Amino acid sequence: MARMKFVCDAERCINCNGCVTACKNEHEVPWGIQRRRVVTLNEGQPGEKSISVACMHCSDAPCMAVCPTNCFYRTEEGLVLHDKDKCIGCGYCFYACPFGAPQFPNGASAFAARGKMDKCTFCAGGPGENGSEEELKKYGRNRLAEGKLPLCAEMCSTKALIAGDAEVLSDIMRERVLRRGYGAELWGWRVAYGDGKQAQRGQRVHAPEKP
Amino acid sequence: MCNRKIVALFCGLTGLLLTACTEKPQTYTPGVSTAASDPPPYATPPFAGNRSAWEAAVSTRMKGQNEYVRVQ
Ligand code: SF4
Ligand code: SF4
Ligand code: SF4
Repeated sequence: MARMKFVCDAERCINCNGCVTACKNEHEVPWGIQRRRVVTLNEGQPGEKSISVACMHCSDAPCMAVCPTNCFYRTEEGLVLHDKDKCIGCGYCFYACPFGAPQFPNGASAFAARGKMDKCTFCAGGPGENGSEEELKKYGRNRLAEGKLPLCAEMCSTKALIAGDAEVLSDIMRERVLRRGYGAELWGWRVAYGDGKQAQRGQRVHAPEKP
Repeated sequence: MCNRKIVALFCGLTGLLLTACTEKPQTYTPGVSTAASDPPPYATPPFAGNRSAWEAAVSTRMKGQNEYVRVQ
């Protein structure tokens, strides 16, 4: 299995908010926190487009880079998760995230009074025993450990939002675009998953050898 | 006088005793996650360590998202 990703096909999203509702209900997300939102561009005008946004589980995640307690970790499947017991609620991750994914139960209160950060887990829970009561309370349900995909994607009626392995998602999108003949743009893909040069950049961490 | 000495001694000792009460080791290594361990999704039941069964289950669901395959 390679890397888990999200794709939202703006040609298909009908702004029904099914994904948002599914997520809220599945994880009993507290009032005031939205792990997923639907954003509509040019609302009310001909050709308006809607996109469903949550944490994209970035390849080179800025939230991970700025967290002062280093409480983020990346799973084997490429998911960016965090440990709420180590989070100090500073809000740095919120400022760093290009998608506004990290949320705080206490809203925009002062430093350290925001509460523990909450964000989309790709329905994969968090640290601790899979499927335990504690995990459910802190991070929501662990659907991945049940062999299931994120509920937001599985509930999407038009299959605008799809989730899973990058290769499978690319195949699905390729077939769609070939059949309909337009709409190949993948919203947020480049920001979240890079331009393909990140691996090369990552290799340049060693100092050049002395002659 | 004697009482004062005792009080001062008592205060000093209490202060000394309490100094390290709330201190916890705070080691920070850049680039190393401090998160507690998280078992992989296939490690626990219903898959109980059977990684290929888990991959097959998830893969079926992933491919099922393509309705062109499902309805034909
Ligand atoms: S979308 Fe935001 S919260 Fe999610 S991995 Fe990327 S930077 Fe982090
Ligand atoms: S709010 Fe929590 S997760 Fe976000 S940067 Fe601060 S300590 Fe890290
Ligand atoms: S993957 Fe799960 S936690 Fe993330 S937005 Fe979808 S339903 Fe919510």
